[in-house]
Amino acid sequence: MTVLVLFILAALTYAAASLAYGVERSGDSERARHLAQVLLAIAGVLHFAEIGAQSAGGEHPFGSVWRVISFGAMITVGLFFVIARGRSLTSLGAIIAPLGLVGLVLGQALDADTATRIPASVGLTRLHIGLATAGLAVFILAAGVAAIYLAMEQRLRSRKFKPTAGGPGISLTGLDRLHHRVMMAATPIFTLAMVTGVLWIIQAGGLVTLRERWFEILIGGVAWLASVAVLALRAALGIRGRRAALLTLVAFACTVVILASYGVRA
Amino acid sequence: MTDLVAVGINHKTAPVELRETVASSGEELHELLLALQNEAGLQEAMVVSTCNRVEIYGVARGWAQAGERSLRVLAERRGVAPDALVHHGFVRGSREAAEHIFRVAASLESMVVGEPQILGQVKDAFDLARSHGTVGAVLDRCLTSAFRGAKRVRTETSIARGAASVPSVAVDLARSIFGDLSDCAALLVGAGEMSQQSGMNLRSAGISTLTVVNRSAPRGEALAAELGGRYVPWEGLSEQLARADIVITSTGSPRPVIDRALLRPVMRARRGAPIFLVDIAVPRDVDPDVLKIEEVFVYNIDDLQGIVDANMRTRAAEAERAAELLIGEIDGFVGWQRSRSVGPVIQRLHAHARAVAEGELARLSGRFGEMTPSQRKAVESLAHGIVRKLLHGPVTSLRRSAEGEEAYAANALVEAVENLFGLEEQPADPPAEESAAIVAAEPVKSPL
Repeated sequence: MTVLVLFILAALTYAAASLAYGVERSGDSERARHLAQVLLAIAGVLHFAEIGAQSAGGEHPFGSVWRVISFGAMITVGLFFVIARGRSLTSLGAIIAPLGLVGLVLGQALDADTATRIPASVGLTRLHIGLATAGLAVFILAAGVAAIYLAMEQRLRSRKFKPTAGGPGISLTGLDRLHHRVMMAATPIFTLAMVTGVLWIIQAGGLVTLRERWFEILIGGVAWLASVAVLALRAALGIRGRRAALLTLVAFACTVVILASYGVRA
Repeated sequence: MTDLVAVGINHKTAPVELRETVASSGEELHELLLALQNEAGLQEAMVVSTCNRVEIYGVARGWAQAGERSLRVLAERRGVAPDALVHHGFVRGSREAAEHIFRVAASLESMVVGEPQILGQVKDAFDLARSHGTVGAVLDRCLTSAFRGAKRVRTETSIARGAASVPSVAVDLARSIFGDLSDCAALLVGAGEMSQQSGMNLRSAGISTLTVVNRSAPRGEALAAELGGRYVPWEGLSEQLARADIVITSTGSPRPVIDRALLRPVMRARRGAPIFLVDIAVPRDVDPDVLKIEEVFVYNIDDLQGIVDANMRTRAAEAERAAELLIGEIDGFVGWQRSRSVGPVIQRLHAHARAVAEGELARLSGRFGEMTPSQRKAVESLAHGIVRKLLHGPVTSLRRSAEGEEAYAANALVEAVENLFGLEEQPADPPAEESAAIVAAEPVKSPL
């Protein structure tokens, strides 16, 4: 009952935050921006409470694919506030708020599906899932920042950008730096998730599991390579901006494909 | 009865030559304020003197005559033919004067609507007048309300958003790309007037490193010295492009001076760092083909002007919203002023009636001899009751006229009451609070 109440409250607050971000984007109102941030923070806290109540009731956050997604969405909301400190990232907030709502709803509505249950006994599995979830959360933010960068760059290059003196907004190079920092955080987590994933495959049955999971492993490898390339190419050749943002989006798309694959398999 | 008056010249009514001549500052303003009180008969006065306007805001009896006298005093003080000033000037009184003052403070009457400087200039003029003791209750209330309205306009509308000039748009675009400009390096290609203006704009925006590249060394060096930058000969253009973040080109070259062939190795050397090229030359200095190179951002004069035009359209639309927003503030001030204007008349009317009643009572007691206290009380009560009922109609009409929309109706009624009852004018208006209290304390009662 408590979980359901918290779920309804969190869902309503996420919806209200999404609406407030939408109003802010269309009207550029300072009040709407502040309200949107407050609502998203409340929604994140309610989401956290919902997951906590589920855990207290014996339902582990990594108990199913859908709960993992819900947990990942909650972490993404939390990380958003970490990176948004001192920056105006309302466009990213407008992406994160509905994403939080989708994660919350998937975690609650599809959790009853027994086919997506993850065996609770395997510790390595949980470690892998935990790292993959954290990596995914940071990736979502990196992809969000990359998408905003590309949109702003496109508007600037096509001369459709309308600057506002002293108005809200982060600069293009500011977005590029933020994107780089978020990728610096995402890539090591993602690397550890890959390593624990490989160990889990070996533990779970070696070649047999490899044959069963070849598609996810292949796509995971591409995602990892793309995320490593973002950092390596910047350090070695100074490649940044548009190309780095595109690489991040490739890596993020791969993680989405992996999640979708798990969903289809379930 | 005193009224608000606003007179003067501004960019809408007078040419710049006249505005320049009439503009005053320092000691001249002090003398002008005194002359406006002593010679033009303004009870309160302040002068706003900027490059776009020289305006006098005051309080006087009969605003039209006082306004014209003020213009003539201004003309005499500044050595201008009075007729020229009367011809190019404006005179507004009562609500129109208040509207004008509120609109000026809110930057709705500025050449560039929404520009922020005017509010500070009006505040300075107000402070100066206050320090010279020429601000009284009416101007104080009016300007305080106008400042509050201006603040609301800035915070509740988008009137000040978006740059209103080409150099400002270029700086805003640079900020959109690089954020804080204090770490950015700027390069001026060409040393003409446009380069000079752009350089000054970049300097005021906080650019730390500024380099000038020009074909003519003397002109380039002179501009670099003026802007506190460094001059580099034309041959060093490619090397400087690799170091600069913001490049402003305004040469007189008939062909582009920056093309893809020049910029490709430059961008390799920059290792992906973005570059912002602002081409304000006609014909263009930057080949549009350079946009095919990544991390290159190019804006030419038409692009920048297009943004300025769009911003001005937005400001114009916001100005309408701002004007609507100011109406409430203006109504508040005008209502206060009207209630203030009828208060003393009501007070004098009551005093007059009381005096008549007391006189008649004294006459009565002399005719009929001594009355018992209860008899005297009954007669006094009768006399005051008749006076109260007789005055109820005029007092109610005065109060209602003060609350009404038409200022002239209230003024006419005040004059009529003064004439009908033979009320002598008091030397000065009582304090605002007192007048307001008198009006507030007079409830509408039935005469029956």
